[in-house]
Amino acid sequence: MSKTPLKKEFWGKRNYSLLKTVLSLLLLSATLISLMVGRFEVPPFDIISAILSGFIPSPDLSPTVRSVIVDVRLPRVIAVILVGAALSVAGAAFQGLFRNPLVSPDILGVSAGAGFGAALALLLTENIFITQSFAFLFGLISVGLAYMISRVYRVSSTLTLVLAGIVVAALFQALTSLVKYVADPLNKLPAIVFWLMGSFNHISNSDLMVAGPLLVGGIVILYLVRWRINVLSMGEEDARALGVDVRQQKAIIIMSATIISAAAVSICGIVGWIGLVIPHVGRILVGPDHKLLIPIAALVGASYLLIVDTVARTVTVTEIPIGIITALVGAPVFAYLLRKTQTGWKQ
Amino acid sequence: MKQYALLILCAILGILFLGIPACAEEGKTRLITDMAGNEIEIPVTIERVAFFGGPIGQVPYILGVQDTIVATSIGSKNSQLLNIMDQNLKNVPSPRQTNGIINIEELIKSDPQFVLAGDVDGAIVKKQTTIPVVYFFESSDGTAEQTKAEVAFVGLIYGKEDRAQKYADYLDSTLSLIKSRIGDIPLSEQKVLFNGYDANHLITYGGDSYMQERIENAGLKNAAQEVSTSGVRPGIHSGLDEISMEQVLKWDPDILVIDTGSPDDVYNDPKWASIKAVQERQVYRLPNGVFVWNRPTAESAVLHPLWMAKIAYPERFADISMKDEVKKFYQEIFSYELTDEQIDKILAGEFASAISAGKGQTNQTNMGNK
Repeated sequence: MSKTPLKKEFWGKRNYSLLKTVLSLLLLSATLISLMVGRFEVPPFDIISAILSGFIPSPDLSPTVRSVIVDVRLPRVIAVILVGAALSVAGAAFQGLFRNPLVSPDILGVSAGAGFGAALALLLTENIFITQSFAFLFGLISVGLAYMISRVYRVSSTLTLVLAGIVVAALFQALTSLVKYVADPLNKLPAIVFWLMGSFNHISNSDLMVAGPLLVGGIVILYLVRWRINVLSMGEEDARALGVDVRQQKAIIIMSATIISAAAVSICGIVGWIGLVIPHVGRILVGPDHKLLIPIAALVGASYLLIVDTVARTVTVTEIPIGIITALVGAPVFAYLLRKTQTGWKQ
Repeated sequence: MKQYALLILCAILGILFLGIPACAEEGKTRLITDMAGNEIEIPVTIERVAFFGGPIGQVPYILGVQDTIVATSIGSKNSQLLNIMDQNLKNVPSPRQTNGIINIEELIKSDPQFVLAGDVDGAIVKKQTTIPVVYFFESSDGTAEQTKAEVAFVGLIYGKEDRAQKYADYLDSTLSLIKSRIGDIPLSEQKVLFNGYDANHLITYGGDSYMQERIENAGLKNAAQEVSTSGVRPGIHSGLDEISMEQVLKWDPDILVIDTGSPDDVYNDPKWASIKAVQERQVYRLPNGVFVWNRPTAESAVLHPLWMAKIAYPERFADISMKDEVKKFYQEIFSYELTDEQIDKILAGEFASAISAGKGQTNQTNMGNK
């Protein structure tokens, strides 16, 4: 069972801190550019004084400009960074845990469940907060279901868990279709369709207050247990032999990744491909060691999603649904990466 | 064997002899040209018709021929107000859900003489059944002229040209009334209106949608005029698209019309706080009668521009009460007497076409269809 780590990656361990610095600078500059561009032109200096206006009063700043930056652009940029980083970290953790490069954070049905929860809430109410809560709850419920189904068979194989996840996802997708079928085509159906398409267009500061801590919490937990993912990715028997409580660690990782995905879906709908593709990019850069991979995946994912979202909101007057761009870019990139994924997956 | 054959022969002859006169009576047809330019035979006596299409669903009520509806769209069937006005509606099946989604067997079961449909639905019915299709338009952009033409066409089919003409006159006189009040406002002084639909108030109609004309008819400017929103998107009505929040802040509209939630929610949302419409308390919830007013229906073609003009320029319409106008329109066009409570509900946008009215019925039908 010998892995061949750190074989073909571009950077390797030696230049790891340099790589981290470069990626951090990339994220920082992407953030600055993203804050500067938008349909509403704001001079760079006003952006700074708008961001600081909470601390330093700036009387000559127009309230509209302040609103554009503080209430619209800033929460959106922060949300995109958090979601991009969180989904990538969750994807990396799942791919390690399930020892499968085709796994994404919603493999256990969290997106399908959350999508159903949101659709159901949109059918019954007009309240955004209830919609988000339903999305989050049903995301957790669906993964809980998948976990329970896999436990019933008492085979602690991760394969059973993945299969249970697929079953649960199929169930909730069918339920979502049913809700769409029953929904009033005049106003409810368009609302559901728009919601499921996924967009950061609606993020407000209050969304961040709720989802932000969940996303950050998920990232931090996965960061803290990142070396255990390494152990688990060697296989359960080996991990047990090394004295790791497999069931407990598995539960922690699944729970964190699920909270991340559910929180992400609840504020921005279903944004695909990030959690699947970014970990591969990270693995090409630093290899399969999760101790190195997790931080890199977070940085790459945040920068990538931020760039994509900035394009989505600036190039046309109407918003381009972000799911379209992530899939359009993600699919070919993934196809290209398949050639390279030898790295770290040769057993 | 022989006697059986004889029996069958007798039966067939019997049916033929009895059937022919009956058929001749019923089968009398006349040739009309539908709105797509097809010549088509339709029965002289119209008893059973399927109405496929959201906006067309209210035309039989304008003509007073709602008794002939045997199949309709879910949008009409779910209309709370239409169910109050027509007690029989709950017994009418709704094989058409949205554009292009039709339960064909349910349609055949309802046994219409012909289907009135738009291009997408019509093509499906034509391909899968032998039921004649009468196209009420080939492509609709929902302008006032087209709405009039639609009502006139259905009126012609039914021989109810007088009722159709009455509607056309009513529409014309309302539009000219609005024009007489706002026609002198120079373009530069016209107020800017933004239609912000959906829970986030960011779905809107652009300058190439029918809404453009309607907003202009009300003496207003469409904030989203520069946006192209035409084209059909899956699951969404044509003519709608999503705008970014920044774009709305840039347009800074004088008036915001929402179709979800309440104006108070918008007033309390910091994202919207700097917009003129919020600062001047000019956020309004779209009214909703037998159908939502932001679709190209006969009802909204008359009342929607008047409503917009009145909220934008109240001083010019001080003598006009929207409540009276709604009452009068329903009286004269739908021959229905609204209660005060119903009028308030219409203007507050509370007549949801939501699942509330006839919910059980709808669910049942849907489940049955599955």
